[in-house]
Amino acid sequence: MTAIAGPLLSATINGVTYGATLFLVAVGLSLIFGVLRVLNVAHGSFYALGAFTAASAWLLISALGWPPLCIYPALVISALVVGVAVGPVVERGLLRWTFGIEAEAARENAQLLATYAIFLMLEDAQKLIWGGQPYYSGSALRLLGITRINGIPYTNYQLLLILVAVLVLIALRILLRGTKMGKFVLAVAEDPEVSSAMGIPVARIYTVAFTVGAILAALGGALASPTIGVNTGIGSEMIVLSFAVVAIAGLGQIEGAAVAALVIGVGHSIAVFFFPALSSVIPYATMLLVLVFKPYGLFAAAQVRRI
Amino acid sequence: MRAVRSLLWLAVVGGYAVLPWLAPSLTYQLTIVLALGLAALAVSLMLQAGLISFGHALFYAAGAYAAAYLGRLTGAHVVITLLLSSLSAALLALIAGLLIVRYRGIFFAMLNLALSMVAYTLLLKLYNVTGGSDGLVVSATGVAGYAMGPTGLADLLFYLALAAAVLAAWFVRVYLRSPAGWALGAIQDREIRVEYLGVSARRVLLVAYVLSGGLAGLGGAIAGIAVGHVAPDSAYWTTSAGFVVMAVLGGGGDVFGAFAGAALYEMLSVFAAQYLSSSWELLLGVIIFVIVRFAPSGLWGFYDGLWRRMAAGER
Repeated sequence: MTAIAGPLLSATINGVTYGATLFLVAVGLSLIFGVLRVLNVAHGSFYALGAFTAASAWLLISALGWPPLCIYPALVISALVVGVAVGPVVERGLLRWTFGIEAEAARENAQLLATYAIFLMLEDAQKLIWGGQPYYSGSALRLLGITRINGIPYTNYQLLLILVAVLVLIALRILLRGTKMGKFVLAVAEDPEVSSAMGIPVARIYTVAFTVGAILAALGGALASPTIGVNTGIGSEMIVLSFAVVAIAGLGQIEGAAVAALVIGVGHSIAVFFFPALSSVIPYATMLLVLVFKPYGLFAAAQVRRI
Repeated sequence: MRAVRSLLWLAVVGGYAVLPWLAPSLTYQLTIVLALGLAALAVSLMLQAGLISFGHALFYAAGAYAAAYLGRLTGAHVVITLLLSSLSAALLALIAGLLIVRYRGIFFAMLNLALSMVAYTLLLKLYNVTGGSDGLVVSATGVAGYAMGPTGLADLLFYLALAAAVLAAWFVRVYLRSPAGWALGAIQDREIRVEYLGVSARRVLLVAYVLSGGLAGLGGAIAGIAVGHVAPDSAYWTTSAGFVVMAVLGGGGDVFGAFAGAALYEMLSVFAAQYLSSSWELLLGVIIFVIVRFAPSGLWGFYDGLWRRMAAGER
């Protein structure tokens, strides 16, 4: 290994694990946009709720004296609970009325503002439930042991994250292309009116897609919770990062979101090694560059301007 | 009826002007309301064209940081600092605008967001230039080299801010009733028809965007001097979202709506910080949601509707 290749390899591995979490959150956002045409500003809050719930699950497992390995199924269950509890309420209760607004610009603006209002409510709900102090569940990170790659230790948990992200990507693809429900979702994403005329229950598909998107965001948060300090503010940071991923990929793109999350993750980690001061500019600068040259993202076809 | 309404505005501005005499401890808060109102006015100007900016904190922060540098470089007096800071923000808006006015809807919102987040991270990380997360001290002296005490400066700044707000509101009102202003509103309705009329939509939007950037920068400079300090948080996306909320609370319909929205927002935050320390965002979220859901034309729409009803009753 040369002097450059060593750090480059480990930056790439770090970047891929970071990108894995980012992908889970962003693909949920992309799914919701693809089907409901809503840019969900509250999406970062679903991520944060998943992380907080998972941190509480870890405390509960420790308190009950259960075997620590229970945390892994508990992470997934936390995500499911958050997504199923919050998703339908937000979509049915708080967003459904916006779908009836005829003018496109007015509808988009109402949805941006309504989801921002929901973001504010959920931010404070976190503070009320979990208080202001950060939660650390880092010991869950080391339960699976470590692997040395090129002499540098990585927790197996980080490597597991990559596997989970790949599995989610494959599962989404199979569910969307191979099942009846998935085909309904794709049809509604293409054209809700025609789908409705063909007898597809569009309203139910909206709820399903929104809930799955919320579960994915919460899963990203739950799985990331052992690797970060779970604190208020993680949601507002994650939402702009996942906006960046989705904008780079193109709104509604699923495989594209995976590529964009990898680009941002690896770009960020490489910058941490070589220009640490500028590492956090990378996601936004990449987003800016892509939007300037390909306004609809790297993987989406340009829309014909509708008159 | 028109005369009554004009007199009422005079009374509102006059009443606002004497408030610091009645309650000197409120001078700072009243100045901040005007600064936020200018930023909200900037956002509501773009709302006229149906465009939501989730990145106007960029220009707000640009104005505040420019004021910090100007104060340090020249010890400039406050009027010149305000003017030059606003101009720097407008210049930044011109450069960014050349790119941004090509986009509409969500893409406009996201591109503004991306720009402001790049600025935020640079402000945070370029410690030697921007002071990092500590931010910079904003100092300003009085007029024409005449040094003033802190209370004197606070009073002076309040009246300068009030004058700036009235001038800006008047200017935007005139602008919105000019052909360029009508074209701006028409872009929201049917952009393609605007183009058929031989008007360049992009040029109309660029003018509005530069004006909007200058207004937000002026607000930022006033707030920076009033606080005496500026930090990167002023460029964070939640700051931008706050401006959008003020503009929507007030209602995009008229220039005074933005100031009413800013006043309500600031009152809510001060009130809630005092009595509901941990749940003020919850309250704000509920209020925004209710307004977007049930009263999309905001405070202004409510006020205007009242007058319309009275005018109808007279006839």
